[in-house]
Amino acid sequence: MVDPSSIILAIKSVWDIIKGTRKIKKINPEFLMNGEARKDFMNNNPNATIIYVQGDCYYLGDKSQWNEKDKRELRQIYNPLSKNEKEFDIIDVDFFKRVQDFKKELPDNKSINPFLKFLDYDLRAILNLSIYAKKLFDAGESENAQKIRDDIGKHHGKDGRKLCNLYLSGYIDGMTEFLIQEYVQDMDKVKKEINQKINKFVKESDYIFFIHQNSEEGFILADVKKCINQEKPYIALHGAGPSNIKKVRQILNELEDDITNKGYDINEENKRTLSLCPLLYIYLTKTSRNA
Amino acid sequence: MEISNWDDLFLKNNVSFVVGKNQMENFLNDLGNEKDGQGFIINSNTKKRVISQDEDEIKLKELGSISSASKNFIKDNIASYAEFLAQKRTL
Repeated sequence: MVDPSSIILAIKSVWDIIKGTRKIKKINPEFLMNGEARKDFMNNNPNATIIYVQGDCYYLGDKSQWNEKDKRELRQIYNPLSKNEKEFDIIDVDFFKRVQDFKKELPDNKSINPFLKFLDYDLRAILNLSIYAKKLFDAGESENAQKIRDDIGKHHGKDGRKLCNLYLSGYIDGMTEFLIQEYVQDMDKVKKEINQKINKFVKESDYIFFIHQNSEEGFILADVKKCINQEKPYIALHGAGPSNIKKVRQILNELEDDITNKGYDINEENKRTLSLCPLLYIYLTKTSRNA
Repeated sequence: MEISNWDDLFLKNNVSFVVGKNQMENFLNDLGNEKDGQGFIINSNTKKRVISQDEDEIKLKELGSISSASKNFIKDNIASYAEFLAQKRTL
């Protein structure tokens, strides 16, 4: 780890050279990673602009030295009617780090789920994020993983959040493995049907419950009870972390009589994430014996 | 090609201007946009509020990125950016 004061000194020495000129100079990427040093410098030098050229490196330039030609170039790149296909982003510094971290994972995601490339853009985006969130959960970075899950919920709504949860609990990988087995001789059929199958599964998975910190125990209890009374052949409850596991246990206690009376078997799996967060999976199933 | 000034930069592809909130507004103005009295981003000519990747109006303080390919205003939500990548670039 580089000492923050040496980072500031280094960036100031570059800034002193280019300030008031049209020059652009390379800078140490560590500057971007050090939040305090970066904010301090950028607040005091509002024209200092960090530039990242993908596959190259980080630069620093003085934005106040832009001329009309520069502004025209930028407008041309952003003009929806131009045939310019350049990829430029003007991106918030904190958001940039999140985007870069996510982009780094994309090549690996393709090997984790070979079906990603066949998915519609919205499913592809959600599943790429879900794979990334799982990696973060497994690495013990629960806060960052949770933020991704929340962002999916904000942007894609209840179905998006549910798809993410289904992925995190292994259902989507299970489904794709099943499809590979089922259609081993006809992969074209999988490519054609995978979007429809995932959407259908999300819509019809009201009998799979994910208990999270905002879950209202009373609402979940009522929904599970409804499924039991409808005698759904498979009902699952998933909880991650001690407080959510406690909620699952309380729901099960409350429903003990209903579960027995309707003839369900209870199967329980206690797992842990790679970062040792406890997981509780409860499956209520009706076998042919008790169906 | 070595980049040594602003002219060189515009010859490049895959470029990010990594900015704080104040600079974001400066770039926004260069692109022909500004914020209205309630903080929403508008087109400086028509004074109409722009629509973000979320298909919603967007405030400057919510802005995560302005990305090329039809001037996309993207909220600072990683799911919005991922959707943009899947739709317009490569994901």
